[in-house]
Amino acid sequence: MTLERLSQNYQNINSKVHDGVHDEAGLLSIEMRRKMKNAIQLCEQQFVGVSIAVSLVALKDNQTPTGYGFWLHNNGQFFRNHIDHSDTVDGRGRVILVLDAKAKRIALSYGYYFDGHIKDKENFDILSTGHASLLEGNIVLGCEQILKALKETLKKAILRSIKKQRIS
Amino acid sequence: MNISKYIIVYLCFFNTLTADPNTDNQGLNITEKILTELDLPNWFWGGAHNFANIVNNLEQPEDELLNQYLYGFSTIATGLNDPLNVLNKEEQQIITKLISEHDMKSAFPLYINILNTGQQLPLIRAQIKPRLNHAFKNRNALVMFYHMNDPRNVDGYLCLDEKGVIENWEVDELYIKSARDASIHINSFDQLEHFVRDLSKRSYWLEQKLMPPVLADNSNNSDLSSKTHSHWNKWFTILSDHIIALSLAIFTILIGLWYFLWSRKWRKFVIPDQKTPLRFGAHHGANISNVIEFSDPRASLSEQYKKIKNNDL
Repeated sequence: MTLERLSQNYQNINSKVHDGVHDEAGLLSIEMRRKMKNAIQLCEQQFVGVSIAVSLVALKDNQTPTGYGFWLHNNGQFFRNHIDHSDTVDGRGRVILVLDAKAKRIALSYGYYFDGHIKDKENFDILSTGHASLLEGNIVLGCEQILKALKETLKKAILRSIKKQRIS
Repeated sequence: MNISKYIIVYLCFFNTLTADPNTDNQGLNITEKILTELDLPNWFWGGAHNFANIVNNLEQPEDELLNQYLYGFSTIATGLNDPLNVLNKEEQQIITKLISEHDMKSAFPLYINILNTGQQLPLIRAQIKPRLNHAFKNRNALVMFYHMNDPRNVDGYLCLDEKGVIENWEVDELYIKSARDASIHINSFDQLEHFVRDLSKRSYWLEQKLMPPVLADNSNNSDLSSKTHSHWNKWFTILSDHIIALSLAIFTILIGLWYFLWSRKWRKFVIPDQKTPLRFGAHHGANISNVIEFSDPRASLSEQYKKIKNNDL
């Protein structure tokens, strides 16, 4: 799997992400979008060089949330207040939460900065916090819960890495 | 010879005059004894006996009057006992008011016996004490015999509960210092008034010394529970005494705690820098988590986790 091959598969999807919310599936009302933005800001504000995005899409059968996350991470255009920050903000510190509204699947895509910091079990725990709400169809609440868990896990992971560096 | 007799007689009378008629009757007795042995004219004897009678009648109150001084407070509602009406009604009211003001604040009620100028009690302190113990049985009392126009000659006692009249240098000091300060005034009533006021003020320190504060305990429970109550009461008293300092300390701790939590909330986290090779031609990231499904409520998270683990293997 390379980025070029994936680009062919996902090229029809709009890759412009505004203020961290990418609602390609058209699930969010204005109020829900506002709530989602707030949740993203709350998650981001304590980290330096970290940006968060939530992408709600309806993927086709031959598309997967992991592949789509990978593609969006590297090919997406990220706007803040209608200004393109794709070149100014380092994408290696980005985390994208991908929610496939059609197949009802969810995944996380991390930038290179997070390599080795977050374990698989932790990833699973982050996603599972919003599972109940998502089952009930409460997408915003589920995403808020996941972002909250993501924030706590990132804190732990960073502190753990700092400690590890000091010891070594 | 005649001259020597008169010298002896002079010495005898001198002895009599200097002797304290309340505490020392020996002077008069010795004088009488010596005089009987002397060959003196009749006119002399008449004069000597007259002198003794005059002294006794002037300075010693009658038995009835003495009883009024010693036991009069049982029949008088106020703390002022003035059987000879030395004070006029207005003066009595002022002193009574001072006494009642003192009694409201003090644990030692004040009892003042007013004696006229030059009047003496025929009893010494040792004789008065048991009588006062009887009169003020198991009660606190500051009892005094105040001589008008002569505050320094005050005779004061302190009755303390079951102990009765106590001898204490602090009690003596209380009366002596109050008398000293009162004696600077000229008017006899002013002296009395200031004496009572000073005594009332000074008795506070004596009260602090002799009567340590007792915590009220209204519970009728067993000894053990009353002990526990008194223990809590002690703590409560200590806490209430230091409530301001404690409040400030707690407030400071809370502010410190709040600041600590607040600073932690806004603490910035920076991801440690590390060199990571680019993968799959991606510039920003190629790290993907596992996928969780939420399409079927029957597909539990634990099953999904098992599935993911098996796939990894």
